[in-house]
Amino acid sequence: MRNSEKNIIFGLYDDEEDLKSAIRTANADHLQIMDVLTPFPVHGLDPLLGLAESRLHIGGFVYGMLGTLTAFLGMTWIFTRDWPQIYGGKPYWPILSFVPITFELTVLFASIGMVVTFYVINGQGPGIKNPVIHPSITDDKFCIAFDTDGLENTQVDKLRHFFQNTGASLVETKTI
Amino acid sequence: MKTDADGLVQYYATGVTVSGKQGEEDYFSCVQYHHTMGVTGQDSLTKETINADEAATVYMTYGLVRQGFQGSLVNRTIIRKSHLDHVEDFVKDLQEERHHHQELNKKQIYPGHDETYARGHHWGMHVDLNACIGCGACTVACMAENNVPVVGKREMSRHHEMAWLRIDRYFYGDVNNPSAVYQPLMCQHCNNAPCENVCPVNATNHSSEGLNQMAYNRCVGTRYCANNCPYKVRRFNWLDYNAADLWPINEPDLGLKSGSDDVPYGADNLTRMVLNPDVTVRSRGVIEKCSFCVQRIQEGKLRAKTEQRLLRDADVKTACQTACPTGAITFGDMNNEEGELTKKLASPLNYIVLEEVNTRSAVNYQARVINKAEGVDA
Repeated sequence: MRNSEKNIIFGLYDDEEDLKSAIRTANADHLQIMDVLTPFPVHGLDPLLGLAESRLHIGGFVYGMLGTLTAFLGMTWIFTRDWPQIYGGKPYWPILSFVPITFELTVLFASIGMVVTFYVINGQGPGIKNPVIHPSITDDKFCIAFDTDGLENTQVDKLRHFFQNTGASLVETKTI
Repeated sequence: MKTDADGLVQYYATGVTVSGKQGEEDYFSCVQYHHTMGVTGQDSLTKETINADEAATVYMTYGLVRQGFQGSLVNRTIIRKSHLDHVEDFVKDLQEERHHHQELNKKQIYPGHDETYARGHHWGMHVDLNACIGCGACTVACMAENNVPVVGKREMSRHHEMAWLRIDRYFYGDVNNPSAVYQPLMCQHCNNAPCENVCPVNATNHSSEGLNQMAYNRCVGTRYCANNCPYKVRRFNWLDYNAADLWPINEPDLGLKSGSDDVPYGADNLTRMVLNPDVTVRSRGVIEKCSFCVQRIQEGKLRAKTEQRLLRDADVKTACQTACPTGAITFGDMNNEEGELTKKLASPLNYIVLEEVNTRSAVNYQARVINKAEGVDA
């Protein structure tokens, strides 16, 4: 969900080990990294960037419990209050028979809830365009991007030096 | 019609000959082994002991005639029979067996609905295998009463028979001169009905009066229930036998004119007059089965209500019961202490088909007791 245009400077790395060492250098130099983009998930990136553990699974648990309660209470209400019927000699409240549907609704609620939450939190979704900083990121290159809005030229030069010192194969500025 | 000197009709003929059909070949549909249970027989070709029903399914297809299988009473038969000479031992064994089954059946997860059925009516049936002569009048009466389609030879040979009540026959004794036991088998209206559990659309459930009910409009034809029925009494409408899809309410724009050749059999108003208006006509893709003549039960209950009295045995009689010439079938309220059914249910010869699977069926069969001297034919 991009509200305004933004000037960035980014560098591309050929290898994820180069990327990680570059991030360590940036952290040591107290450079404020805007984003890191990789073609595949890189292990150990989250702690380097100081990202907290995702809370999505907490949401998944909550949605799952919601599904469990919906199924169990729904069926309980239907079979005991709304429309009690006799099936195969079972009592009006056959808890064992509820197990499959309760499980299914738990999984359904958890999965769909987590997907929707993920999209909302990350500003993703149908109709939203996300800029591709460089086509190679979707192929085999690793990218570190800095926000250059409000930075003086000397500071941007410092970032450019940082990229050159850490072995970036390409350094560019861009407005996204 | 031939009459004798007194003008009485004689139901026999002498000196008849076959003409016209001589030298021609035709196929017959042998349905005797359809749905029979626990019957093994010797394959006429391989001489191996095989499941007769399975073999009938495989071999008795239309256009491929194989020799039928002579079934016999086997260990897992659903027929109970005894000779009069040792009937006391037989009753003792039968009671012991039933007691064993009932003890095992107590070990079920759910408590059941015995309290529900103890109130009001609990419909049940008693079939006396001694009285049954296998004439088939009950089947015919059932088909007439319940609008059961007559499907014809080709459908029969494909296991598509629709009879709600079938008569199984089981042979015993000398293979060249066997004796037979006939067993009318209809929906047993089990209290623990296996068919009800598997319906994904709630098309079959149990009434508080112990009836296993069908909601034809709900049925989507998965046939899980027929698959799960241990008695194999559920019938599936493979085709639109009653031309139900051509009823004006279903297809208003067909423009069919009564009596013209365009109208399929069963779709014109005159043919439809054979249908019983009290019973729904089932269309294609729907499971149907014995309803214990629920329309007659309702009629009897309403009659008793308008006359402001308790329901009597005479108020409700199923079609098969009224048709049976020997009175082998008794239908009634199992909660009616004075009813005829309750008296018959007290017989120690009674047994329940497949009692060991804990279906708790509502149909009791009275074991066959034969009283035939040694070496006497028929």
